[in-house]
Amino acid sequence: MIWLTWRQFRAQFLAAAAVLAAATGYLVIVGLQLHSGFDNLPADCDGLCPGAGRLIGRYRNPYYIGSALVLLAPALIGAFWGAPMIARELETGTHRLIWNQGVRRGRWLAAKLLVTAAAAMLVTGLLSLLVSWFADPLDRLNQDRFQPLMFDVRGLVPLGYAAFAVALGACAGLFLRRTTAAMAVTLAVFTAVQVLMPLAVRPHLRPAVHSEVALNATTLGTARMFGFSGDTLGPDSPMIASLDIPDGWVLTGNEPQAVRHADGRAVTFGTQPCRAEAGGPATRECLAQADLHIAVDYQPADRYWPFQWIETAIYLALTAALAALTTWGLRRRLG
Amino acid sequence: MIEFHIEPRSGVAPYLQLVHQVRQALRLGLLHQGDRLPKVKDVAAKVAINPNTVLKAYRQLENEGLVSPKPGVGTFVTGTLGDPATSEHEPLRQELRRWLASARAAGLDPESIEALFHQTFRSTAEEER
Amino acid sequence: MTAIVETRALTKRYGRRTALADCTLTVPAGRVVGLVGPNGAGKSTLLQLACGLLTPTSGTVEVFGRPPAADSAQLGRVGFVAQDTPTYAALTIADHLRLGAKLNPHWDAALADRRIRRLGLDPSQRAGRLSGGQRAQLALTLAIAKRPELLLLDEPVAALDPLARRAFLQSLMEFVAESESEATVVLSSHLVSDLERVCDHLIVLADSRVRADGEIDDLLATHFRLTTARRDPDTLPAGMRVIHAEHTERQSTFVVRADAAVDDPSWAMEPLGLEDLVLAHLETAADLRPALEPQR
Repeated sequence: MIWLTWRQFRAQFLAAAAVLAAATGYLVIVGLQLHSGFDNLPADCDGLCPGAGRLIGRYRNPYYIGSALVLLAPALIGAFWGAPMIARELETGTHRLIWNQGVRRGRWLAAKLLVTAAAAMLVTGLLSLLVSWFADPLDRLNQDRFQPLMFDVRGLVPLGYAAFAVALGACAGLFLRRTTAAMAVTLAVFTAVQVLMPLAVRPHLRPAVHSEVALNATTLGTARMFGFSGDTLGPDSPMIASLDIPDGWVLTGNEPQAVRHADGRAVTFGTQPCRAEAGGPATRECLAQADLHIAVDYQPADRYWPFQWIETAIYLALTAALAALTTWGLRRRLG
Repeated sequence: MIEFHIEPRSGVAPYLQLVHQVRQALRLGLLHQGDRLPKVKDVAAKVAINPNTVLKAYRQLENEGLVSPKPGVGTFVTGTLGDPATSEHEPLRQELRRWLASARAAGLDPESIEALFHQTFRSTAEEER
Repeated sequence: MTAIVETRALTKRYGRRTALADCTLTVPAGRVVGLVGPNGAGKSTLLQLACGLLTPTSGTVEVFGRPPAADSAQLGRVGFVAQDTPTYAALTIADHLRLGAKLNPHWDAALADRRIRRLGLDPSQRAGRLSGGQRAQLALTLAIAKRPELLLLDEPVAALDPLARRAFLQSLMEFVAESESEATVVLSSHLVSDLERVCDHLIVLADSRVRADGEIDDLLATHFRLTTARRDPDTLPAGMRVIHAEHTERQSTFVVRADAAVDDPSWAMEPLGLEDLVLAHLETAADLRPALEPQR
């Protein structure tokens, strides 16, 4: 069975291997330059020094290309390896040939799923490793690996995505019986799950940490936004800010939060300390002394790997459920 | 060795067609005593015919005393069929000629003669049974 | 006579469409059984139920006294050549044989190689480039080299030209002769002349019902066409079952089933060819249909 699976699957696998090889060549060459550029940065550069900005800017395109490859690989594998697995047999009628050999349908499916999922995880895993190595300097400068899109393309989770996509494709193929329809549905469902996961599931894998962060020189340095809200600036306009937790995941995201005094009162334009002459926000140096606070919900950086494991496990469980559903469908239907 | 063929539109059962063909070959001198008939398997594969049909034909020929099987070797011709030109048939032929002449004189066309012959042939066969 | 395939009230529905309804039949051992009937009679459904590709909606089907495709041992005993003889277009002939060898416990590699060589096929050729006849032969080789005890063939020659059809039937008969009645073959077709050649048992199926079932020689010996002056079928002697009747103003033509021909000056009774015999049963089935099927 493994031989047959490999024989039928060879061409697709070699095509993927070729893409992987091309990506490897490109990212290794560019990556070596990037790594030496990173090594030449001053030792105390924390992502804000001018050299870091230049480095990030120069390697933005390969960085995006690499991330896009890891992001797309499971989806494409699901559509091109998973969906045809059963649908193609049904379309060409060869299921009537193969299911009458001396191998039960369940075993046939198990071998196909295992070999294809293993190949999918291998290809995606290698790609993820490669891109992780390549992007390592930039990840250290950006400190954003917990952010939704970054989380998806690093570490373990791409393996889970790949296995899930294969099982999803196979299942869609069985119930839709047409390869193209199965491919489309696989892509659509996979994308939907990938969008739902960071929006609805991942934030709740562990209760978020709620913390009142004191605004000082360091935290103000990571503030991505700082100012007053409201259409017109008046005495009652609240002061708002949004903070980044380095390598953590701020769940309030880009939504700026109200800045409060130590006693909980919101700071407004009228009541702000260190009033600036021009009517704009006060200087950061002055504010850092003013004992102001901001509330932040976030997943801290040390939860990164637990979250990777949990999410991978969730996807593998979904894979197993789909495989079971496909086995059940294969045994009872086909009419 | 002879070759068989089957004519599906003839209305004659396939096994009987094979029997007729062996008899014909005996009459025409294509088969002699001691000749081996083709193997059942070869006939089945060559003519695309059910091997049981071939077996049935060979059994029928065996019952007629024309062939006999030697286990593990094959089926061999053991009997002969009289040549229709032999002298003992001659008086019968003369008689039939005379009868045909009188039938024609009575106004029967060839088709009616044939029908009359077959009908009479069948009913006497029935009576003898 | 042991039954190789036995169905009881076997029914298969696809949604609201009924493909096979309440079909009860047995396939005797060691025979080449022809399954004949009009398109849509349920022949293909019946064969696919027997090899376990389909599961019944209701009723039972048993092969060797067990449910079809129950385990790999059972699968190994049944060969199936599906309609249009599907093969993997991208795989070579050698790949197909290797597939058979890897997946079947009793695979006869020597037999498979011998057949492919005798057919003059190049093992390195892709199945997608074979002609219809060659593809059918490849599918038959795969099914035969399993050394099946039951070989099911679903309209294998329907799409073939006469030459390829003859070659296919020759291969099939060679298998039957070599198996020396150990194997049972069920072959569906609507080409009665082919079935007459290669089968020794016939099952006529129409509207899921078995209309006639028996050894071909017996069927031929007991079916007659009776031509007579117009008369009521009820006035025919007992022992004659009327299968089909047609009347003109003066004449009645019956297809009857009787143990032997009865000579009577008032009629002509002659044997019936297999094709006409099958047609008589099918026409009767078609005549009965409106009465059997209530209007929806």
